[in-house]
Amino acid sequence: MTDAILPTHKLLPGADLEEADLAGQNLQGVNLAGARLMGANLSRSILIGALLEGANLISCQLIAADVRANLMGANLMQADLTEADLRGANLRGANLMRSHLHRTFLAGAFLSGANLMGVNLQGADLRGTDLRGANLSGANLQGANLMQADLQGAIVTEANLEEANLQGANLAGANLAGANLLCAELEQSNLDGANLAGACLVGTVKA
Amino acid sequence: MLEGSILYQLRAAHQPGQVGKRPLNFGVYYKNTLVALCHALEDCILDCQSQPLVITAFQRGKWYLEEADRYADLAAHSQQVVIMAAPDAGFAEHPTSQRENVELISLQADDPVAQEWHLMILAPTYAAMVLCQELMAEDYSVQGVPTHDLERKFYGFWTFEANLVQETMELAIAHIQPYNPSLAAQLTAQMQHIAQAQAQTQGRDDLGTIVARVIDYLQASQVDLNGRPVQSALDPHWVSLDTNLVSNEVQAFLRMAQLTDQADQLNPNAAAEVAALAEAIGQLLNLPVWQLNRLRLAGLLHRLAPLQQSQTMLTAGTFGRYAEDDPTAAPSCPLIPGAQVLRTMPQLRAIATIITHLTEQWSGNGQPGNLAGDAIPLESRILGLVIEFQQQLAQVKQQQPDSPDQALAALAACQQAVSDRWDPKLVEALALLVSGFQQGLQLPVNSPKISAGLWMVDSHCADDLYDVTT
Repeated sequence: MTDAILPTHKLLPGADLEEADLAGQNLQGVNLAGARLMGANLSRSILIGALLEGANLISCQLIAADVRANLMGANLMQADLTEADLRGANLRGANLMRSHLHRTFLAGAFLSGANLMGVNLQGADLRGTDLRGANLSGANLQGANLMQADLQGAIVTEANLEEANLQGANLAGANLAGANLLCAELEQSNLDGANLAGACLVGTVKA
Repeated sequence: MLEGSILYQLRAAHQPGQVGKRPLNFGVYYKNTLVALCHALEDCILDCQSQPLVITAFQRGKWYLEEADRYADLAAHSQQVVIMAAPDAGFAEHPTSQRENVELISLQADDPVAQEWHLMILAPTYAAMVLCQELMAEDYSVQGVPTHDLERKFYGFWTFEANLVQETMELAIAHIQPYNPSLAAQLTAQMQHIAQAQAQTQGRDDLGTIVARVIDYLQASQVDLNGRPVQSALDPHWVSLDTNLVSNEVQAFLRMAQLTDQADQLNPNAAAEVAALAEAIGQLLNLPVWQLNRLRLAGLLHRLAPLQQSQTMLTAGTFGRYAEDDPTAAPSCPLIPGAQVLRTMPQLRAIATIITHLTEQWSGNGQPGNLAGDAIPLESRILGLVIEFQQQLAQVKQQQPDSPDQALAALAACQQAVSDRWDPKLVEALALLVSGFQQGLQLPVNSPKISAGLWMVDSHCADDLYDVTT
């Protein structure tokens, strides 16, 4: 389906919109739960309040889109989320592996249990995000702002957190084995029960 | 961190809870960055209005020997130069080492300072310092120990804060004491003499010129990196090295703005508070996030512009780029020195424009461009208003420390000039924010982590805004 024009608030759960060109469309509040949107072009679209729970968004283009939406359990593998606005979005349990997150705005997003293995979030603003139990193994979080973020029980093995700001962050029970925390800001952060085997803590208050 | 090292001792003195001491934030520096940074700060000695005391740590004598010819010139413009390093062949024999005002300290092999890279410069009119320690082999994580010399990693910080330089020099002199007691006594006397002279003179070397030189040297290093052949040993890692250089260019500006804050005893937290307020107004206006980030960075850097003096300094034509009576000249506005420094970094072009137009007025009667209404860049309008509000608030807090209506009083002062000086819709947004404060809203005000300011730069900061100065 290409060149689709979708009226807002239309209920389209489970719709088949593979490869659809929805660039720049106003899709505020649309119900696309479980929809198949593989490879669709949603760049610069407005998806505020949309229901995309469990949607298949593999390889979707969401460049500069406003996706402050419900994406719980959605599959965003290889999606291009460059400059997309995901502030406060519900991404619980979503799969973001291999997605492009350059200049993506995720402050306050709910990412508990999400799969963020190996993603590049260098310098990202992740203030106050809920990353409980998320998988950030091997992710690049160099210089990221994770103030007050909740990483309880998260898997952060071999991640790059060099110069990251983790002030007030909750890392209780997180697995940070082999992580690079060189010069990370750890003031008032909670590392109770965290696994720091082989992690580099040089230049931090904890070293 | 190595116990007994100077960085270790300084951090211990700045642990949270130490009275009057701000905790230190450390950043990561490649050797590549440190070379450019130190060369810039050292070369400022050549133009310094007064003669500094210079204490350095070079790790090994061979690193000093690479710089020894330059150090002859630096010594000629300094009171005293001290070189600490583990001795290598030729270390003491170099002609610079023989100079009367150059002293060498041959560090013992197990001295932790032999793992450190320091440059401390203290003069009555100029203070700068780089304080770093090299990473141990086991501290390099998965990416492994670097193969190229310029990729060696250090951690620590650098600063223009004279009090911190002096505090660190005291630690360095104490370290020199067992090696050379008479030199230590002489250095203490010289340092105290400089501190006195500093207190007595108002004059300082122009920080804008110093920062411009730092930017220039770091940029030259970037050009050098980008010009390397593709097969170079550095190739896979040049991006990290390049990022580290850009990060330090931003740091130079943030550190410059930080000094203005520290020198203002009545309003020492202006940069961070203005940034938080501007971001909040931007959120009320539903601005896109990249613009919020750009607004925040402009807020943190706004003190680069000499606003307090702007009313008198900016009389039209006093320092315009073009002569006023030249009818063929393109329309232009006077140059704002602080904003001009920002223009040396293309990545911050938009920030420079925003700061240049902070003093415009909604009515069109402002400077430097006589812009009116929506022709004034939105972020300049927001920041101009927020700066005024924050200054009023700081004053009210001084005058009525117990009043519950401090924010209302500061708002009323801004409302007096609505439509004349300020954009009415922005004053409305500010009023909304103030009513939030009255009901208990609190804004998180965080001093920037200067070593990692890079996350804000990537937000259309290089855009060309509408700007009449071009």
